[in-house]
Amino acid sequence: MVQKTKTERNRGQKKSQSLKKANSADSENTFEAVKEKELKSIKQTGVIKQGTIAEFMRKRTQLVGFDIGYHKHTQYMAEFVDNSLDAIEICYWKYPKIYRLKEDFYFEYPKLEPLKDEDITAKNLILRMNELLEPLKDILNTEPLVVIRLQEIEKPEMLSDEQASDTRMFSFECFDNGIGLVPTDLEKFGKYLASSKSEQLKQTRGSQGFGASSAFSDAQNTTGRPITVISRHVENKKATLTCFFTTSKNQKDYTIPPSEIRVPFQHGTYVRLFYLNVRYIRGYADDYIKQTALLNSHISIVYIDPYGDVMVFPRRVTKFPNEPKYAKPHPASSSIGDFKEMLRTAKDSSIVNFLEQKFVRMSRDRAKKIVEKANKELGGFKGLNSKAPSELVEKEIRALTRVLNKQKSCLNRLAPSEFKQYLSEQKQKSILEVLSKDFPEVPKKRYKNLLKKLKLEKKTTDELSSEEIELIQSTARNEIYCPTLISFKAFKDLCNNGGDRTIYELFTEEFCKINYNSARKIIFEADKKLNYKSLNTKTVKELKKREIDVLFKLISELVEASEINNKTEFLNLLNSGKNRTISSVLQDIKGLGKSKAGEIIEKANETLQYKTLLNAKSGELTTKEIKAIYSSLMELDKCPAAITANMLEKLLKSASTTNLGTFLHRNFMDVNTKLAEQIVEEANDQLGGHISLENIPPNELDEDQMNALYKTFISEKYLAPPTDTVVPVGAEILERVIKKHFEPQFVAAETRSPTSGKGLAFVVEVAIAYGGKIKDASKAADVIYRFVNRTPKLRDNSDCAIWKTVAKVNWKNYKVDTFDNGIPKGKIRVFVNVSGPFVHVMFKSQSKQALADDEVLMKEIQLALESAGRRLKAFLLGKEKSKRKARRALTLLKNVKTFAQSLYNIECKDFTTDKHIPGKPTLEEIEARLSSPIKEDIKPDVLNVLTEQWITITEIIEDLGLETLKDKFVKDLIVDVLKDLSIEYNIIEGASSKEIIETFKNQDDPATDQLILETLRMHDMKFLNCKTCDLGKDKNSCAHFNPDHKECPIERGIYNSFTSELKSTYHLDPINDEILLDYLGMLEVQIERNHRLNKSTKNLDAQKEQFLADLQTNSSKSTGISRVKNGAALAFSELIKNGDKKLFWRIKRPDLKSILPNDEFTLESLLEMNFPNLKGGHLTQKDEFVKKVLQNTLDDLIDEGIIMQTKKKGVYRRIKSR
Amino acid sequence: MPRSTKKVTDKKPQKRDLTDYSPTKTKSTTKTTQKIPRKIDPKFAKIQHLKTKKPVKPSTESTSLTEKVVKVDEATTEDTYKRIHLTTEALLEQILASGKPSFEIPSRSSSNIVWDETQDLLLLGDKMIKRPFHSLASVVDATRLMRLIEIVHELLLKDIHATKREIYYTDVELFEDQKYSDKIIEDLAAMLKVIRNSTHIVASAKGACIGRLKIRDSGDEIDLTRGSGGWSISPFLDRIEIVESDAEFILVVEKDAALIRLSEAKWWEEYPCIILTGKGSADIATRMFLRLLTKELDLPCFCLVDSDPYGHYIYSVYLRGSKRLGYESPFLATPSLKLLGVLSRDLDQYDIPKKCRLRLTKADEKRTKEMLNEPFVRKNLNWVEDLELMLSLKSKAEIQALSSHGFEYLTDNYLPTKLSTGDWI
Repeated sequence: MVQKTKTERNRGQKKSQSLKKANSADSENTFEAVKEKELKSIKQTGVIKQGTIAEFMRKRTQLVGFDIGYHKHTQYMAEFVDNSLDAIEICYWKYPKIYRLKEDFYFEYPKLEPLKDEDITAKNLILRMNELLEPLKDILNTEPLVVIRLQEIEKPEMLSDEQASDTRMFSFECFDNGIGLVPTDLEKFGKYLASSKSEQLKQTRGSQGFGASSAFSDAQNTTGRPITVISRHVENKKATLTCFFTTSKNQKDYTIPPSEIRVPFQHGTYVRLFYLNVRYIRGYADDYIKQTALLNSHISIVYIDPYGDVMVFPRRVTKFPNEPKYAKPHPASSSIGDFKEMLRTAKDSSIVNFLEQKFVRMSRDRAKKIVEKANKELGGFKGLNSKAPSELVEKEIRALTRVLNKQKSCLNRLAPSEFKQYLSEQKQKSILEVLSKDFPEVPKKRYKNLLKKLKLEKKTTDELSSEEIELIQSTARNEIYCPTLISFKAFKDLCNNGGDRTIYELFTEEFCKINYNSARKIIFEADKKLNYKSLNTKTVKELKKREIDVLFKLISELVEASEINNKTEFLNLLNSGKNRTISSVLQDIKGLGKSKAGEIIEKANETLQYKTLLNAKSGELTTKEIKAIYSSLMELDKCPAAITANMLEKLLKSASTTNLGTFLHRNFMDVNTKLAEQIVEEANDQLGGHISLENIPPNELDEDQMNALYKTFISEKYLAPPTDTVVPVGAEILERVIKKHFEPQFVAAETRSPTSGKGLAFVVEVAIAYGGKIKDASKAADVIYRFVNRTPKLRDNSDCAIWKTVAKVNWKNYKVDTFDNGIPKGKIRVFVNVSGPFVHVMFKSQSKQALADDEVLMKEIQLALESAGRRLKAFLLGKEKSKRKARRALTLLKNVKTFAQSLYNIECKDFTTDKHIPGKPTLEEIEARLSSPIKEDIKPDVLNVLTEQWITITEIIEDLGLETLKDKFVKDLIVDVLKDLSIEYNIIEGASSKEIIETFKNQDDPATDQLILETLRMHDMKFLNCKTCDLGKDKNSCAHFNPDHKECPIERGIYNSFTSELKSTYHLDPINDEILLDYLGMLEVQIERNHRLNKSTKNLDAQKEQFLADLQTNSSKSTGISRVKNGAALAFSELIKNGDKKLFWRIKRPDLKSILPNDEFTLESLLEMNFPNLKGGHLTQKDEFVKKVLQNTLDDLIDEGIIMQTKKKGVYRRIKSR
Repeated sequence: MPRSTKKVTDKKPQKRDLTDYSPTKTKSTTKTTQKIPRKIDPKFAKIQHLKTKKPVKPSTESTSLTEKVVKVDEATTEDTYKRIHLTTEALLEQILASGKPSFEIPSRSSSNIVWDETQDLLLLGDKMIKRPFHSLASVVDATRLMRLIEIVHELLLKDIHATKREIYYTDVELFEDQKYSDKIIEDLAAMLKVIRNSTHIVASAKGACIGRLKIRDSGDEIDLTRGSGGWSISPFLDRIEIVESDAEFILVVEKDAALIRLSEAKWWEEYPCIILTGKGSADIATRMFLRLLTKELDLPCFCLVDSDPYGHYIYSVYLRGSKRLGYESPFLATPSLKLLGVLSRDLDQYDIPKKCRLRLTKADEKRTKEMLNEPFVRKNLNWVEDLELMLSLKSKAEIQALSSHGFEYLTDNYLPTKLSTGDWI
């Protein structure tokens, strides 16, 4: 039992833990009450039910964003689009060759007829999916693709009318050709907390396993319809179709069990579900898709909205982002909760291993250091080492007692059960062997006697019965006295019954742990107390002359020693050992043994009439003598095994030393300094402190130890986390994509280098786009685009750190105007993307809409914004410069005419005949010459403004910053300059109305809508007002004029009858289609008026016809807004055609070099190749121009020696490079 | 078609021999300018002295200006016309070559004004400024100049004259303000290196003249001894002929009021003289007329101005021309003009009472100091002395201050005393 076993240790710890619990109970009054309650609740059945997460979340889908409202549409988009993007990325990272990413990719998606709401059967589902994917069949397996379709379908019958009036039912479909799900994963898909990502830290879009499952819950909760998932894993031959409900037990209830089907795609997942929500309007879900497409330009996205309109976002780049690495948490970012959780679940063998492996930036040395510090931390606050013995409190005394008791194995002190336990663990050993070996304080002989007495000496340990063991122990307790514990009464009885045995014999025979030396020591001490003198205790030095004489006499009498012949010799002998006892000196004499020496001293004592208890018979001892002996016995060093807390306390109180180690060493038997220290240490351990954490597995740490460990762990200074776990979009890609999406005049993107704040590694990217097709933002929310890990964030704008930082930047410094809340204003858009594996930590809530205000994060965003801002400022200053240049040009040009005229009059005109002098330059020539340097000066600026889209002259003027000078002269100048440039720089002027309509229809820009609606509204201002009626004879008044209504009643009548006809024919909604009705009504009024005034109505008729035709085709599938838009685009195009708004378009020369076919080709075959920036999608009338551009390019290539003309005319061939 | 203007006085004036003077000589009615002989009044001894001392004045034609100054001619219509065409042809060439025409005009900034010591005249240096059309700073001026050239071209062709005001009104939109057109007119003259009169743009004249002089204005003979208001000096000086005069000297007065005083007293009857006023700062026509008189009649001339810096400045303009029209100095200046009064030293000498004196203002002091810095002033020590005296007295006085001794004091006492004692600068 000397070695401490592990179990023993643990037992000790558990004890100390329970001790602590008791302590904390003292400090907390409520603890007891709680405990009672717990007991009660165990006894009774209780009221508290344990729910499941599925049950919980099913009822609270709004926690993750599924509250009813416009944003709910967005939330569905978010959950499934994000999943899809992840699936595609994972697929690419695993099988990089699966997608063909080589060239820029353009495709179109036709407008599909809406399908009717059918029963949910496997056949219908597959049909529906195939219909959705049919237009994409060529690219279905090669192009990273996400297709989303949202449809409003007829309300289910089971809904009450009230419910159905403001909510509608939507069918939501999402397809991706990502990696797909294997059937076992498909089984789990949709269950709560089943996530492919939550295990480890990685830069992902989601991680919680809440998204899709919550969406499923919401879907089935609101519609009662099952969810369909069709998926084919990339390595599977067939797809699996399932149709199911999820249950509150987080299980699936299949309506169509998993069944294998054929699908047109080789890998991917298709999800279909139904949900109820408010009417779909633009500006939410579509924005989400748009913004997602913006930052995920490596994936093509198709979105079909409930109006049937298709938005196609083709892939813009040919590279996927790199796969982010899994990241270990950085110590600085670990909260105590996370830390404890990690500890509890850790399977590492030691804390050092745990720290080293679970955290980044944690070396083994550092982990050791932390553990060491934590050890100190634990010992430091309740160590016994630092305390004086008298300061020890009861708890500590008890602990110390326990440790002391353990030092020696004492049969007496061992509890019977423990002894039994101990014995049963010993296998078939002789009982005597066991006792003498493991309880060595008592000599083997005495055990032998004891066992003989009990007749058990032959037995082995396993033969002993329980009674016999108890007998052994109780007998041993009665027979073997413990010097530390024996009471005076027992001692006295022992002495009185001792009979002839000397006290010395009593000690050595009856007591445990008292040997020859100790016994003698006790007796001599007692002698001293009784003032008994004896030679036994004296040293040589103390000998008196008489005593020396007696001794000499006795020696010479008893010993025939040749050495001591005379007294001088004896004195010499004595002198050689002054400080030694007489006995030992005597033994130096040859032939004088120990017993003989004792005999001599004995005799000398007698001769001298000295008395000593050494040889006294115990039975004859007086009470006084017994008392003295007992008191000496008590002064003897204590046996650690036998010490009790009370005794120890007394000892401690009277201790003279201040060091506990010294105290133990002095007061206890067999306790040397080193052992004393060990004992104190162990007592410390017992008290819960200063257990070396090195040897404890992490999952066995108690609360205090964990706290201490966390404290030292978190207070260390660590290197910033590694940044290879972060994959940003990249400034270059960002710029390119924004350019393509927004067609701004200027864009500056900035990617900061990876940073870490509080252990979170992240990258901040910003982009600022300005001018061009970007319209003035009407509100601050339109300006800022927030992304986290490429995922757009549309809600909780102003709560977000991004928003706050944008508002904090001093935009005035960068020549940017702001709203009152500090957000930039005007033709500007700000994009901020924060990427990083730890970013989800920084969200404010579960719905992950807003980032918390982290100081470092905000600082990073601000720096990035400021850097981009500086570039914007430079651009704006340049624009300022070009504005100045344009203004200067205007001033100069205004003087050209006068100057030229004067000069012409003097030089080139005959004064008398007023005719041009032949041979002299004409006036026009002079003017042209004079103005050419001026125009030349502003040409680059005008060119700069031109985009690869139709742009009106007004927009050009605005982009040049000349909007304040909106006179005709400016317009003429710009048009003039453009004309000058047209051939040289491939500028096309004018577009057909069809092209204009297409342009505006395809622009899903609220600003464009606004423009169109404004145009329409302006339209109706012209009519029904009598002053412009033109019917009156004097044109100032009208015969029909009614002053009360201030309008012409006849025209009002025409208007009313026509609009009511429209309502009935086309089922127009008077509220939603108000503008449309107005416009058409007014158109009719105008036609009527023109009839009466005998004016041509040709244009108006055509307009009306086209409008109505458009309405006819669209009436079934589009709602008010889109109808208005279609019509408005038409009206707008008329306006542009008739008015002075001119449209321009700049063709960029195609980069033929990279796409030239290897075999022979002609101009025509090249034209069919449909160059994106050459054909632009809608360029029909000016194809000649395109041809010219292409021809020029080809000529250049011939000059460059890249292609050559073959013998056949118009056929070209590439020159092969050697 | 251009008509050459004929110089009215193409004959050189006869050199007057004072010893030939005969009081019995009758008035000459010939075209030749003659003086009416009178007995030599001892009052004019000093003037006679001045005359004899007068250096032989070089003729305008032979004016040899130093190399570094712009040569300005009093060009004929035809000549001016030619010069215009030279300019425009060059412009047209520039336009055809580079499209960027540019005018070159002698700079008229003060740094380009040179004082010709030998002739005692302010002249224009050879520093040129460019006025390119394709520059925001000068495009308007260039256009205005071009337009002005066209107008002048027409004037020359039609051989008619126009005033500055008329020029301004031909294109108000372009010129915006008359001060701009006036500036361009000066630019044009400088550019063509002709005097302004050659451009057929005349200044409206406000000066008047009275006294012993007979002139022929556009064929009508006018006797300036008649009437009391005097003859208004015509801007069309090329149509004026001087018929005859028996004056002994010419008196230039600063203000109309002084002229009226003298005319009322018929002062010229007792003191044979021609009295002339520019009514304040002299316009070009007045100055040219004075120059014409002194040139034709070879008479000593005196100037009577207020005793203040502005009066001294007016004197200096008669004497050397203004800085603004420096280049026209040879045609406008009268270097023989003497400053008769009112001098600063006269204030005490003639007991001008304190109440009639005014204190010099800060601006006055500044102007005085500026004048003292002018090289042509510094050369005349008497003048310097008087200006310094003005500064130390810190007071000024108008001519009218002499009226404190009675209205006739000027005519009966002051002027005679000054003239007889030769008390001028």
